[in-house]
Amino acid sequence: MDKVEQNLLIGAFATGAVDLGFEAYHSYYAGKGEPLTYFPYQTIHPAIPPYDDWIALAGFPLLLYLAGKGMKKQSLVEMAKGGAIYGVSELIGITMFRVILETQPALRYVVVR
Amino acid sequence: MTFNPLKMNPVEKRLLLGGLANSLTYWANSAAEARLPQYPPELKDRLEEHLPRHGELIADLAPPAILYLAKKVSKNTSTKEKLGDVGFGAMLYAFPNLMAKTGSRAAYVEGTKVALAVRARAPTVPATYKVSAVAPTRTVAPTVGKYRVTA
Repeated sequence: MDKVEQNLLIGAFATGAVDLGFEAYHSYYAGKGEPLTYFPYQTIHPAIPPYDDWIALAGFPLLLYLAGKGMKKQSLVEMAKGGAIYGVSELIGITMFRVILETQPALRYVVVR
Repeated sequence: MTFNPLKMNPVEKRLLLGGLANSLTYWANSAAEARLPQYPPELKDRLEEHLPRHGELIADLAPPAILYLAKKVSKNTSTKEKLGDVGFGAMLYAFPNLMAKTGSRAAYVEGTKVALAVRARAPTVPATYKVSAVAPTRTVAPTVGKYRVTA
């Protein structure tokens, strides 16, 4: 794996780690029976991902990108690219999942052909 | 990197394509698990309570594995390179996602254990009062005269 690929992977894992931090905190309290309902675990619509997903998956790669451009470090920009690939993919996937859950009711009958 | 898909170079486009394909596979599996009654129950099982479900693991790790095999099998150099880029993009999604989902699940399980421990330590009722299921005996003196007690 060359240096660029390593930086992409580091950026993706770093974004995943930020996402893990938010999700694990929320999941821990959900397991305790005390689900968190305050910012950033809120959303403007059930079909749209909550704010913590936007912060972790879009905000963190953007932060890395701005830091890389500001400090003129190409490695940080490459990490931001890796984070953006993970983050954008996850945001689109989560949105698709939430839209399906919102629009498709749970099926009670199996269609037999 | 610009976030405008039209201005990305071809390698970046292929990386993003790989990540998107893997993400859509993973979340399509999650949607099927949540909404389809004919979803196989074996895929809902877990090896261990802290790990993701079998279906989630397959949906997450299969795309990069399949793309890697396709790259190995293809003979054309250009196709190998393109499949390698798409496969690497899928890997950029798969491994961090697996890390995040496993950590989230582990945190949930630990939270349920804490909740169970708190409930187990709940204070018991003090034994100040004796609870008896036996009704106290009552005697009714027979009435002589006008009224007679029958009960």
